[in-house]
Amino acid sequence: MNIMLACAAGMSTSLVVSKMRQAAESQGKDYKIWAVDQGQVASEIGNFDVLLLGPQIRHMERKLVQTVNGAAPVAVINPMAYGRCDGAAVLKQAEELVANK
Amino acid sequence: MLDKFTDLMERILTPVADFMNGNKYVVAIQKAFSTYTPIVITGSFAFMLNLMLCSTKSGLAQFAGFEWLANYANIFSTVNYACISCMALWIAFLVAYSIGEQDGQKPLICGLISSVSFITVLDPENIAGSLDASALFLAFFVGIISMAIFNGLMRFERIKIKLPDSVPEMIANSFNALIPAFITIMVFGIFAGVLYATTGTFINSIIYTVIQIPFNQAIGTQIGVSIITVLSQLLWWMGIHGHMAMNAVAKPVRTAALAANIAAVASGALPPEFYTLAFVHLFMNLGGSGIVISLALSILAFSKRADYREVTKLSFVPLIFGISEPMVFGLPIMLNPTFFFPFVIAPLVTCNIGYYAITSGFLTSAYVESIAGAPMFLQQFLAFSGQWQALLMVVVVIAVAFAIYTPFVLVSNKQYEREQAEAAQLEA
Repeated sequence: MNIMLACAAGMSTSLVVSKMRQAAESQGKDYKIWAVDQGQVASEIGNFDVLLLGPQIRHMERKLVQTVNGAAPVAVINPMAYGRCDGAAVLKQAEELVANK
Repeated sequence: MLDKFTDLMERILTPVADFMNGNKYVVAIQKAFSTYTPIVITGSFAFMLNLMLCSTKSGLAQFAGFEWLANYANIFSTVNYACISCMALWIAFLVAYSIGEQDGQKPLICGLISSVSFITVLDPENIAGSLDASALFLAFFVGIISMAIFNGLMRFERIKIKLPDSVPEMIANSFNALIPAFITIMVFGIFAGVLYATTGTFINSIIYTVIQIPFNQAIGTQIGVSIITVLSQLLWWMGIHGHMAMNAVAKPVRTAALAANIAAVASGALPPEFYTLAFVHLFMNLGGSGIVISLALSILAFSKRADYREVTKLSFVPLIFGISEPMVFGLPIMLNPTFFFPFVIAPLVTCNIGYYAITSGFLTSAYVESIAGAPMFLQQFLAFSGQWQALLMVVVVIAVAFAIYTPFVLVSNKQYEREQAEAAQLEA
């Protein structure tokens, strides 16, 4: 599964990404997880199975849903899980989004 | 009561953030500047190196044995010219590139048409002197208007030149755009030519005096910067990236200010503008938007809440690099009434301290672009060209914000004790 995260500059989401990778590894899952700047979402379409947004850009959700245009599910990361860098929780959120697609 | 307040803020502020980050043209201007950031940093560092090495007044070249360095000043001044004194040309390209991308056009031809149109409206006798930050607003307008014309024309299938299918797609595409490109550029040529013939002036000087100067003067003032700080913090308190949302308005102003400061220092004067990115990184976003590092220090010193201490420890290293999201969402500060007041007031106070530190002459304003994501102290040391005053101000800002946050950390202790007591009573 390919999980992409997006935030304002890709800096704070990359903290969450490293925790998610650790969580995926400890669960024995071979996922590709990475973070980009929100402006790069359009050029990444097709590369990700699910797009998660940092809560600080949640006001952009509508626009990014338009951009992705059904190619993958899009959701805002639970703020508390995001802030506390709870990799396992965010990973679970991503898996559920893909499963319920 | 709190719900109502939050609701009200959401209703007022979310549309602001929505507009700033959702409007096609605002997004294009923002993207143009963020793409251009490495070039601004390159140009301003080249300028600083010139001062340090080749200047006979302040650089190594003033000392015996190093005079020859002065002959090589061109190494840096040409880089600075291409990066800083030509920035409006590149911004005109980038704005149209981004609009074209959003409109589903071929972005390269869009950027190209806009840059060509931009040169078209300038004074042909003084092109080299018309590409600097004073033409930034002109660059926005040319980018937006040229794309409005070009995109409009591209909708008419009849004016696209069709080539047989055997012609390679690359060539066919450039022929497709030929007539729309021709008309778009001619519109600017006619506009500039008629304006000159009837008034004897060029549009860049008109836009500069009528729009750009008033706009910069409204934003780049003590009041303007204070308002931006408050709005940015209110958005952050709701969990929205306030700095990013405000950038659409603030970034052109800061970039023009940096260019003005460079020009002033180059001519031997003091940098006149205080509101640069270096100012933001020292007085508004030091250790995370809202000087959150001071809240973190206060929690580590005084908080009795184990969960606060835990989150703060995890968030501390990112804060040194100016990343406050773990604290904002993890503590959380977001929608937390206890920290609403200091979160808004602390940076408001420190940005005003910064204003007085610079206008009083204690700290010389920056003429080097600050690097986002660099660790504190080093960030300020570089951006303020090694002034010790900047390092002292880092300490002052942290201390002042610490004093503002601490009473609220103590309040959160009291609240916590009360909650614990109530929970114990319920159990009993």
